[in-house]
Amino acid sequence: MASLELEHIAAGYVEGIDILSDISVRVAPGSITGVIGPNGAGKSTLLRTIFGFLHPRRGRVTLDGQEIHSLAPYAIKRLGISYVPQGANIFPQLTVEENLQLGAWVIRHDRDRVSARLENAYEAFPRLRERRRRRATTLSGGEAKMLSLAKELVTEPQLLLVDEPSAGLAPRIVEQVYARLLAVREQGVTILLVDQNINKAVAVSDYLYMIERGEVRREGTRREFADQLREIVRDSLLGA
Amino acid sequence: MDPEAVSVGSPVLETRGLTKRFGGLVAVDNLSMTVPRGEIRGLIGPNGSGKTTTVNVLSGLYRPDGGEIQLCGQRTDRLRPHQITACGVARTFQISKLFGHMTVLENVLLPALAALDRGSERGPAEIRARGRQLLEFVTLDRMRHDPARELSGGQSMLVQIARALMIQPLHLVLMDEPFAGVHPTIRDIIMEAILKMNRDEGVTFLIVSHEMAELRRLCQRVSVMDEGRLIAEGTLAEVANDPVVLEAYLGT
Amino acid sequence: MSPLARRIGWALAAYAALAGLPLVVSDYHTHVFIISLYYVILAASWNLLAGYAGQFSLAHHTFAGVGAYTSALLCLYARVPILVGIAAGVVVAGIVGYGLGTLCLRMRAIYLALATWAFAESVRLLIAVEYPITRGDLGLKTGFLFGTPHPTPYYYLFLGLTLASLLAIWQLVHSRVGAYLRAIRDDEEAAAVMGLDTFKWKRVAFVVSAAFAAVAGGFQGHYIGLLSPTPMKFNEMAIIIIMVIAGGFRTFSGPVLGAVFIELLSEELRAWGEVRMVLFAILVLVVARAYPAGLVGFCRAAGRRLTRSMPGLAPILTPQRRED
Repeated sequence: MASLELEHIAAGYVEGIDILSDISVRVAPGSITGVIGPNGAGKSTLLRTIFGFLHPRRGRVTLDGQEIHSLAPYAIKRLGISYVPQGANIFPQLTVEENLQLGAWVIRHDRDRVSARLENAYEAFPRLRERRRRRATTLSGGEAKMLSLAKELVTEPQLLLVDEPSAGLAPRIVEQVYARLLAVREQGVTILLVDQNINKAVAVSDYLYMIERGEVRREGTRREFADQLREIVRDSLLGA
Repeated sequence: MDPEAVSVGSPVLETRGLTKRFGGLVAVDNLSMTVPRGEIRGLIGPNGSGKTTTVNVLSGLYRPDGGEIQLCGQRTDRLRPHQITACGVARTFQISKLFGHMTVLENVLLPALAALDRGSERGPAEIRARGRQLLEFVTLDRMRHDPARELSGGQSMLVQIARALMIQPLHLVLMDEPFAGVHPTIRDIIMEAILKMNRDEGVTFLIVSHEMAELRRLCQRVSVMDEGRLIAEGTLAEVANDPVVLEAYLGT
Repeated sequence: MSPLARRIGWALAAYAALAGLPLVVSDYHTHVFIISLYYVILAASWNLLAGYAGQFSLAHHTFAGVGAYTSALLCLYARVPILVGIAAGVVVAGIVGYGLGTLCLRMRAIYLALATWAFAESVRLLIAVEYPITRGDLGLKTGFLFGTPHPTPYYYLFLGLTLASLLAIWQLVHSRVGAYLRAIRDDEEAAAVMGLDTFKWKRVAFVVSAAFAAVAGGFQGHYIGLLSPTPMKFNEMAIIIIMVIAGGFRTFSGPVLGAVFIELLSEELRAWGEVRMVLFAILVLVVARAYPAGLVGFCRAAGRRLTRSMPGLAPILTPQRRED
């Protein structure tokens, strides 16, 4: 089970402007760690920095003690980290099966492993099995999100980075997505998720960080957060 | 259409039952809101609450599906954007929507040039002088001959603001995320510009933003939207203590 | 001296400078230059619409044809003098342009292109089909403006027309209206919100460019002496686009350089036949991919390189940044 650590990370897209100014986060092995915060706080930037789309200006990112912050995304994927972006990150003109095969790109040379993994995916997501030869455009919103997730699980990652799992989805689907994430955790996958939906994030995470304007403002267990949810939002609105 | 028909007492912006749909999604749901003359109003709410769509409907880029809008005493819900501008309404966009191949100064002058065809009486010299004054106001006069596409994000926002302030008469400015991704120094310049225009010329502002620190300094009141509906209105302190607002931000 | 007077002066000087041409080259080459000038007007006016205003219309060649056929038919059936016919052609093109613009200019780019293309093909087919009136593919004979097919007088005519057109387009581009069109091209939404009636000004550009095309087409018709629907095929539109892109899209002198260059090249390679189009297509690909600034960019770069080796030439070769 993987553990991830960010130490005093600073990152940004434009010279001179830091989106993240000093982020230190510990993701305990086998846990679901949630990161919440207002829009623009840097939540997506955090995940992108971990996955190598962005290199930090200061600080370190380590996976099980190994420094990964200067690696390219495909190398990070090979280490067993998968990244599920916002929305449905699928290839609409390809079939469900082809999408899953693309998810297995980094292990594509091992045909048997790939078929085994695809079989696992269909076990876990029966709806996708029903639609395996259908084009991804024919999927509903929820099914597309599930495919998005399944695609990233095909490589059997040890760490899953999830960006706003509830964004743009109907409440019922949101329930299913979170239930799925819990199931994935049961299989020993460590999860770091980022969400605007504070209620949901708190319901599902073991440990949480709240970031605002690029810094960690608060951290604590689910219990600690659940007790102070309203204060947290109010303080954020008041800018305290 | 008399652009000066805003009497001191009447609100600069008033919507009643404003609705906008995109297919099955109701982006703005029965929104009724009033902003009195001279106020700086914040428009806040969680992501996807319909704030930007509201501003787009108000500035005429989208046609509303229902309800009515009164801007500066005129029914504007069926008007096209340039006609709404003629009533005295300006707006800025979240992303840089400058005229990239024109210089900074040409960008700022454009609204005044466009007004010449509507019967405005500002002469070219006066327009140019005003343009330079506005650029000075946002500290970018020295860049006036630079092509607009060479500007940074924050500088683009300043030019958008100077360009919007060129509109005359100016009663209301709609701003969509003026602070997003903008350097702190530039944020201060933007805030100073807003406060000055409000104080000295009585211009009303409606500002969509999630930067609470800035809104706290600027806004007398804020309106809170969630899922297209207006759920609360009041000072930032009042809405921050409103359980309905907190629930909205917590998500379901 | 006002800027306008200065520009008129330049135009007159250019006229004088180029006036000697028919005296030193053969009739055939004079004819080629006339055709080049015809295309300069078409290219420059299309660039006004597509390059400066951002409206990618595919019916420009059609308006040239409308101008030509209107004039020819009026002269033939109503026995009007040629110049009246040409003027009528311009008016008709303007009206048609107004109507087409009203229908199409609210559409997004690709739909505008498709709609104007459909219009272009419809007009061409209409002319071909109505052969009892238009003689269709058999060809409609027109009267020669100067009573003779000899190129020399037409060269002077077209030289004057071209310089006048370029001057007019320059004035327009550098006027307030030109600023409106450029703003609309850069960001139509922002332009609307800044107070521009974008639809109205796009239509103005559409009508003006159609009128220029009709002027060129009208005079061309009464020079060539024979009209047919063949020049209203899409091939002609493609050539205009190629000329503008090879010359330098969205620049003022691009269409001029491009039209002359492509036409001269086309004549030199006449023996290649249809293969010329392949060459031009490849040229456009190369320009778009590797050298978007086109011929104009090439000349500017050459000018800069010359300036570096001969600094004395700098004020002439490099454009100054405007100071005020």
